[in-house]
Amino acid sequence: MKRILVVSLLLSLASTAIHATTIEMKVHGMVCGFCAQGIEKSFRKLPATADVTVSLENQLVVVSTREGTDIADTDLHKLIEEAGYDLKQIVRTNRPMQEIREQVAQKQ
Amino acid sequence: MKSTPTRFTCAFAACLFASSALARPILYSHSTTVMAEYAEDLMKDVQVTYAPGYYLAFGLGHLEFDGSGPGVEHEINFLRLNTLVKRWNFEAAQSNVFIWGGLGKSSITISADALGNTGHNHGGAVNTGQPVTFNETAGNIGGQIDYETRRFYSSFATDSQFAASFTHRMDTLQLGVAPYEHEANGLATFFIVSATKISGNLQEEETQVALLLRLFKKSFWMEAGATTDGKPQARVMITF
Repeated sequence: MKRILVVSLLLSLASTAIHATTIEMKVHGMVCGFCAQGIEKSFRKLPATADVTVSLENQLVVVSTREGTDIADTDLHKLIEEAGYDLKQIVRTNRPMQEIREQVAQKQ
Repeated sequence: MKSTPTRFTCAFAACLFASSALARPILYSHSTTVMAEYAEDLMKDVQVTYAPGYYLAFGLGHLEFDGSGPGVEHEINFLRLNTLVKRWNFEAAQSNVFIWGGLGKSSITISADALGNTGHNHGGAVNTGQPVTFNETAGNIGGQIDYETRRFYSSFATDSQFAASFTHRMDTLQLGVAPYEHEANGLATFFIVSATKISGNLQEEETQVALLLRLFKKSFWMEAGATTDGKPQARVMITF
């Protein structure tokens, strides 16, 4: 029974990862629009990137990927660090970008 | 004893390099920045820099000086390199240490009338009825440490100019506050108090205080205000 639960959990996580279209990253060091602009530009150069948004208030960088694509964690770390900032956390979700934008706007 | 043209040239070169130190000398990777600057009775300046990485920027510029009196024209064409030595990223703050260096060729042309009016021989130049041009290579080295959040800005910068005939140093402390916390695509507003101590062998030691309003949004940055003796200053910067 325990084994079944573990397998189910792993399958569930794998499923989320495969179909994930949104990558939410906690980034430290962003204090101005130029910081956001630099990061946005870096991500928009990636073929896998569909959309990018940055929230200074939440220290959040959110990238939505094109269908069937993903960006590896190592690449995410590399991009953020090459932009001059510290990537602290990566969470993959299926949340639409619009929902995240609205949530960020409500917090302001 | 330095000649008057040399003093003019070097003093304005010093002002150029020092006043060209932006709030942040490097913006972001693979960015090109164009900056224009105006300071009453002092200078007009345009420069372009490119940052191949977040830790490095290089560029060139041209300026014309206004404050040296009638019949005197000053120009400097220069190269400059800015480097980010260290950055600390905090949850909602950032601190940096920058150093920079540059080389410039300054030229000062004095009309025959101006030569005649001054009553001086300008470093040995004889008034032949023709304009006289003086050239000198000037070096520059400086550094900055800063700490900023979306509500608070602080920096201390030191900037030294030197050549065979002079030294000039400016130490600048800036403190700023924002009335609100801006978002990534929103307008940022800062009220800045800037205090600059000027020293070296070009002029009497003095301290100037300026009050500035700094605004920036997306790729546009500007700063405008005046010194406490009423001389306006303005800087505009566009990054792409």
